[in-house]
Amino acid sequence: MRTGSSQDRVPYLSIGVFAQKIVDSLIKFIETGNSENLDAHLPEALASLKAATGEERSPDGPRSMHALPSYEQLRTFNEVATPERRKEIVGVLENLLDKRGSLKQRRRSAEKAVRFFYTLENRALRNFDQPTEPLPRGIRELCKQT
Amino acid sequence: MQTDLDGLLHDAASLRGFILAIVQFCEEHERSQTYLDSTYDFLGYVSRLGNRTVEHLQALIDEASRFKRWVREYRQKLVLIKRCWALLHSFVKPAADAHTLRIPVAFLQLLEDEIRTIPQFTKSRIVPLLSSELNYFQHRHTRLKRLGNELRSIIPNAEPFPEGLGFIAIPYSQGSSVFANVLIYHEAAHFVAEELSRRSDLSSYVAEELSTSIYESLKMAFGHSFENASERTRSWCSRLLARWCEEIYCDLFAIHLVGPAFTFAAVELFDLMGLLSEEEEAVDFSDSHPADACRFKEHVRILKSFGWWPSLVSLRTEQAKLVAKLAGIDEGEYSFSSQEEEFGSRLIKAFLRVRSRIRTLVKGIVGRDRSERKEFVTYNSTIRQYLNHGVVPSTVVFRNRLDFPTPIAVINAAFFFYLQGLPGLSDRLTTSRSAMGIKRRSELQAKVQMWTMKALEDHRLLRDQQERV
Repeated sequence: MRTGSSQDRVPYLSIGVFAQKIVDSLIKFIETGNSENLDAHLPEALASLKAATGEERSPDGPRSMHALPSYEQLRTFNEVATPERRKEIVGVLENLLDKRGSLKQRRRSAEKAVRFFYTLENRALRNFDQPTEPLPRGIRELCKQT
Repeated sequence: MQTDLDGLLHDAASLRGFILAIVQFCEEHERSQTYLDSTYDFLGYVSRLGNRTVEHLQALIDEASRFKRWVREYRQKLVLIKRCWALLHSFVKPAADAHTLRIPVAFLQLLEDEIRTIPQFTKSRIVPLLSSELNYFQHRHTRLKRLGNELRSIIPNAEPFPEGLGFIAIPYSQGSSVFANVLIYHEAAHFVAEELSRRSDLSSYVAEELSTSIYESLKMAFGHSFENASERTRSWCSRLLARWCEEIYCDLFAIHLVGPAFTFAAVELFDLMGLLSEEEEAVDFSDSHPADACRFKEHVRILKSFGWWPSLVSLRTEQAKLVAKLAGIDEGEYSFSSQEEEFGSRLIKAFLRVRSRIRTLVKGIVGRDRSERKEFVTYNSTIRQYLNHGVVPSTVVFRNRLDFPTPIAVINAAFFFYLQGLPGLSDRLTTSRSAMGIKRRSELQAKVQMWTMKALEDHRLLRDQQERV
C-alpha cells in the first residue's frame, strides 16, 4: 500500500529547495559580485523554466531532474506567473548567464529574479502545506462525448 | 520593538532547538537500542545532517547581519528548512521504535537477502518503521532520498543520503508475527519498482513500462474522446490505471518470492479489517487499489501456473474457500463506485486489458518462480510433524539424514499448518475443557509463529557457518 501523507507532497519541497538555491546564488552575486554559484545553477533554472513554459526540453530529456516538469512543478509555476511573466524571467536569466550589460544592470536583473524565485518558493511551501488535486473538469465528459 | 533581524534570529534559534532535539533523540536511541544496519545508517545520517544544518543556521544569521535587506528571503529559507526537517521528523520516531526487540529481524533479513538476488539490488537495505496503522506501507524513499540530496545545495557540507535504503512501515503490534509480516513482500515490490524507475520525477518502473499499454487500452475503452480530452484528464486516467497496475504487480511479485503464504497473509489482514465481509466491497475498485476480487483472481491464476493450487484446495480451510470464491466472481461484476457507472466501468475494462503485461513485467524482474513449491512438497509433512511436536523445523531428519528445508518452504508449511487449526498440536496440548478456549488457541498460534521465526534465524546461522567453512 502506498502512503497518502506529507511524503506525497515532497515534490513541493523539492521545488522550494530548487528556488532557494537560485535565490542564494542571486543574493551572493548582488552583494559580492561573485557569480560562481550563479553560473553553476542558472542553466538548470533556465532549462526548468523553459520546460515549464513549454518552450523547450533539455537535451538530457526525461532523465534530467527539472527538465521534464512534474505535475507539482507545473502547477506551482502556473500559479506564480503567467506564461508571459515566465518568458520575461527566462530573458532575465539568459542575460545574467550571458553576462550581458553592465554589472549594475545585471544586479538589477538579479534582483528581479530574486523576487520571482522567492514567490515561487513561497507558493511551493503553501502547496506543500495545503495540497489539493481536484478532478479535471473534463473527466466526466469522456463518456458523454462517445 | 523587535527588528526584522531579531525576528530572524528568533526563528533560527527556535529551529536550532527543534533540529537538535531530533539529533539528540537519534543519538540516544542509537546508544540504548540495537538496530538493523540500515536503521543505524539512517539515524546516523539524520544526526549528521542535523549538525550540518545547525552550523549553517549560524552562518545564515551572520550573512543576514551583513546583507540586511534580504532578511525576508532568509526567513523564508528557515521555513523551508523547517518543513524539510518536519518530514525527516516523521521518519525518525518510527525508525527508532523499530529496534530489534520489536521487529521480525530474521524475516526482514530473509527479505533483504531475496531482494539482493535481483540484479541492481545487491546493496539494497530495508529500514523498518513501526507504524500505528494496522497496515503495511512502503514509503516513497525516492522522494526522501532526492530531497536529502537536494538539501546539499542549500546546506553546505551536508552529506548525500545513504544509498539503497528503502522504508517499510510495519504495524507495531505485528512485530513478532511471521505470517502477517509476509505482506512486507508486497511493500518490497513497491520499493523495487521505485528503485528501478529510470526517471527522477518520482515515477515508478511499472508506470513507465506500462505507459504505452495503458494509453492504448484507455483509447480503446473511450474511443476518440480520450485522444481529444485534455492532457490533465488523460494523465488522471493513466495515473489511476498505473496505480492499479502497480498493486497487481506487487501482489504477483510477492507470490513469485514467497508463494501462497502471501495470499493467505492478505486474506488474514483484510479479513481482520473487515474488508471482505461484503461481496459488494470485494468487487469495488478504489482510487488506489483494484478490487480484492480482481486481486485474488490474479493470485489464483499465478498460483495455478506455479502448481500451488491443488495444495491450497486440499487445505479445505475458510481462507482457501474465500480466495476461490473471490477469484471466481465474474469480471463483469467489478465496479468503481466512487465514479459514475459508465466512466468507472470503462476504466476497469481498460485496466483488465493491461493485466497480461503486468505478469510479463514481474517475470522480467524476478526472473523465475522462487516460491519453492517442490521444496514445500518434499518437506511439508516433516515440517508439520516437527511443529506438531513443538520442535523448530530448521534442521530435520529426512530419509534418515539431516536436512535443512529452505525458509520459504518452512513459512508456507507452517502457514498451512496454522490455517488448518494446528491439527495434532492442539489435541496434544489441550484438554477437552480448554479445546474451545481462545486463550489456549491464541498461545498455540503464537508458539507456531515463534518456532517458525526461530527456524528462519537458525537457517541464517547455518548458512553463515557454511559460508565461513
